[in-house]
Amino acid sequence: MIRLIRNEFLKLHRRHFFLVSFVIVSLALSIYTGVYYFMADNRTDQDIVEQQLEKEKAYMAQIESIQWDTELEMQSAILSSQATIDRLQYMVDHKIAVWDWRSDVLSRYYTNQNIISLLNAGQDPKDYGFTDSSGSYDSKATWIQRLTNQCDVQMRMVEENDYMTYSQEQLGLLQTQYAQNYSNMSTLDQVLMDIEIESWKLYIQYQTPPRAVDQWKSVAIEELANEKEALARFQYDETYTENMTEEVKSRQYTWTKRRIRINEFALKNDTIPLSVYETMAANANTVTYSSYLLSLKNMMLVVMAVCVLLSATIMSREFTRGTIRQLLLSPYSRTTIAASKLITCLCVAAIFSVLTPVFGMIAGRLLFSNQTIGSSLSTGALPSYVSNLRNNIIEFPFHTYIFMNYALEALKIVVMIVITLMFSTITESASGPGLIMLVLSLAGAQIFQALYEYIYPAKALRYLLFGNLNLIQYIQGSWVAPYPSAITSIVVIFIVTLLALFVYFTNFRYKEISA
Amino acid sequence: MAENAVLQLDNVSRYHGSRMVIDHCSCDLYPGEIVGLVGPNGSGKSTLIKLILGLFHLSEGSIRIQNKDISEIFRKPGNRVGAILEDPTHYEYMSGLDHLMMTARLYPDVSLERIREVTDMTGLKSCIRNKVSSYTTGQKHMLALAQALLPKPKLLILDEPTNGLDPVGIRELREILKKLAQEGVCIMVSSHILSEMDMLCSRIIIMKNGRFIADLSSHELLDPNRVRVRIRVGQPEQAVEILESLFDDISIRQENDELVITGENLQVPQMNRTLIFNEIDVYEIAINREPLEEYFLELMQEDKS
Repeated sequence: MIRLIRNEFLKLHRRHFFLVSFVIVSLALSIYTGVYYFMADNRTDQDIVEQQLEKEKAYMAQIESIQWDTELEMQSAILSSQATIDRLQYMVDHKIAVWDWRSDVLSRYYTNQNIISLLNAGQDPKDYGFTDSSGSYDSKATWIQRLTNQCDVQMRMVEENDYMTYSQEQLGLLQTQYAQNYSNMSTLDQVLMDIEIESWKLYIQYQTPPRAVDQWKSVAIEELANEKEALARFQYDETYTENMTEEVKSRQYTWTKRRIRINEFALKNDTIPLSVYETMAANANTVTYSSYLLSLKNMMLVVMAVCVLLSATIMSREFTRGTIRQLLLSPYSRTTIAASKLITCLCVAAIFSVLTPVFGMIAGRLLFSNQTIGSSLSTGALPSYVSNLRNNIIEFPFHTYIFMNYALEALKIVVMIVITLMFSTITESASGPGLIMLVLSLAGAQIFQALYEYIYPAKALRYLLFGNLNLIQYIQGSWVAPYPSAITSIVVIFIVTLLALFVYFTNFRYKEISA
Repeated sequence: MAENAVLQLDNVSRYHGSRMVIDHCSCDLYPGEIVGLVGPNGSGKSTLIKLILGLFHLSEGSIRIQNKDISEIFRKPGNRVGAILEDPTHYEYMSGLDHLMMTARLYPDVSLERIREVTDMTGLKSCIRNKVSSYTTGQKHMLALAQALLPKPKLLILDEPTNGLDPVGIRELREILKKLAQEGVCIMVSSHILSEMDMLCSRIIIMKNGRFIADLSSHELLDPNRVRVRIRVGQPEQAVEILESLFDDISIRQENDELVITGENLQVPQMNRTLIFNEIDVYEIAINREPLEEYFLELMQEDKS
């Protein structure tokens, strides 16, 4: 058998198969990596603030040339713009990002400063509707003093980066608002308000700045709130689910619940989930090593194409060239000859399936870093993948998760090789089976998804191979039509592969060679 | 005797649908024999060879090579059957040496020395490292022969080996095959070129409609008692009448102005004298030098009548 396989490798070598496919795969990987590298918007938060500042300054420069209805309106616009410029300048000087909670406080601070200037310039507090708690108008001096005090508190909060006070203040405000409006609110609004209050409590509990996109706990709390909101809408908002089928609704509902469990687990166990990490990377417009390596998985399609073309030709060319006769005269059984062809294809698939992630790891380490997206991740440690498998939370170390991704892609390639080999051996032709299998291997899942969703939504479609090949969906907890289960997918893949192997070996064993 | 047989066919039959294309063929082939398989197109020669090589399935009967059923023989490393099928095919992008190395790899006992030996024997030494795509038809045939000879086969089967070969190539092939037969290899050759078969084979099996209709040794073919004489005359009808009345045990066939006479102990001078005496113009007398062709045509004609 080894001798036959060595002969197959020699034939491939002489056909320049290895050279050509290595060049194709490497080129595809390099182009993909290059595009990924240059597509990444590596603007820092500082750049964004500076750009906003420039924009605001430009607006300020032309504000007097705009037609205003009244002088007061123009003065107000100038002051407002000046407040924005002051705020952005402060943020640039103190390296504060646009999403930072301090931006909100600073905005209020400079608005207050603005109003103080206007009051000092002779404006009446009545113009602004300023009243005290009893509803009567206070004097200008009282207001100026009050606003100045507020400004002092706000600036101290900003200067000391006192997000705990800020969060408590926000929580207090929300709770007051909630208590005041509770009776007038719909159930949905009540639940949504509950969720928001819960988020602020979590920011305080986990001592993390609110809505900070560079702090994983903040991101996780934000995601948790979004998912809980989705869940609330499932229950109380009919318009939210009116376009969903029962099946989609049920999947989405389960998926949302799983996401909630994963984020709660992450917060409790102080584990950064990969999903949160990727959200942070996306927020920062940064390409990370982990997102690159996961995305490079798409290039396994090129490997699949190479392997499908090899499987389509490795046997059929022997028939079309007539060399099969000589091959069958060798002192090996037909089963051994068929097995040697299959193993050769599998070896090639294995070589390229290993090459792709290894290339990714090297290029990823050289080009993309995991240390660029935030202080809390600056250790460079890779996040784990947290999955909710049948109500059990499982934590996969990053490289284990990557290995699973690539291994399941390789499994797809193995299945496609067996089926292509079977068809090309039965038909003794490379072009037909090669082309059909190439299309199916590249777009089979999408074709079947479209078939199920738009043309023929029969549940039986879930037993077709191409709806079942994406096994990683069960670990990720996201499903695609026609929504098979993990067990169905494994059984379907197993049966189809065994059947294809049986047909391939039997057909070749009893085939008459008339060429 | 049969125990020594290299190839034994026992009532070998094969159907294509309901049509019987090989009809109960039996024979034994022995070491050192060069057996020619002769027959018109569609007589079943190639089908029989494919059956022997296991490329087609048997419908009935059995084929044994060195006392082993062919269902076993092609699966074991002990397989020592070499074959060149009609229009030998190769991997055009590989060199001759690649082909020999690949074949050698499948037989653990084939050494580099053996590769050199067959390369020399087949005259491929000068082009062995070239790609097969640059080979002439003759060189491709020789490469196929070299591949077949590598494992020192006991049985060598060649289907139309001279197709596309020039006279020099045919002669070279003939010399190699004769040498191999002397070394004890049993060779089965199918061909349309009867003169070539006549020169090469020690035994001829004639096939028609899937059946063996004659199995002759070359001695039988060259039996001086079965001479064929061709006489070209001016008055053929008269000549047939005269000869038939005066000579017993002869068979005369008229082909235009030629008489083809077969029979035992043909007395050619007396016939000549008789014709001249009866004022028949005799232009040419030829003792047939192609007994196989004559015999073959005769058999075909008999079968037709």
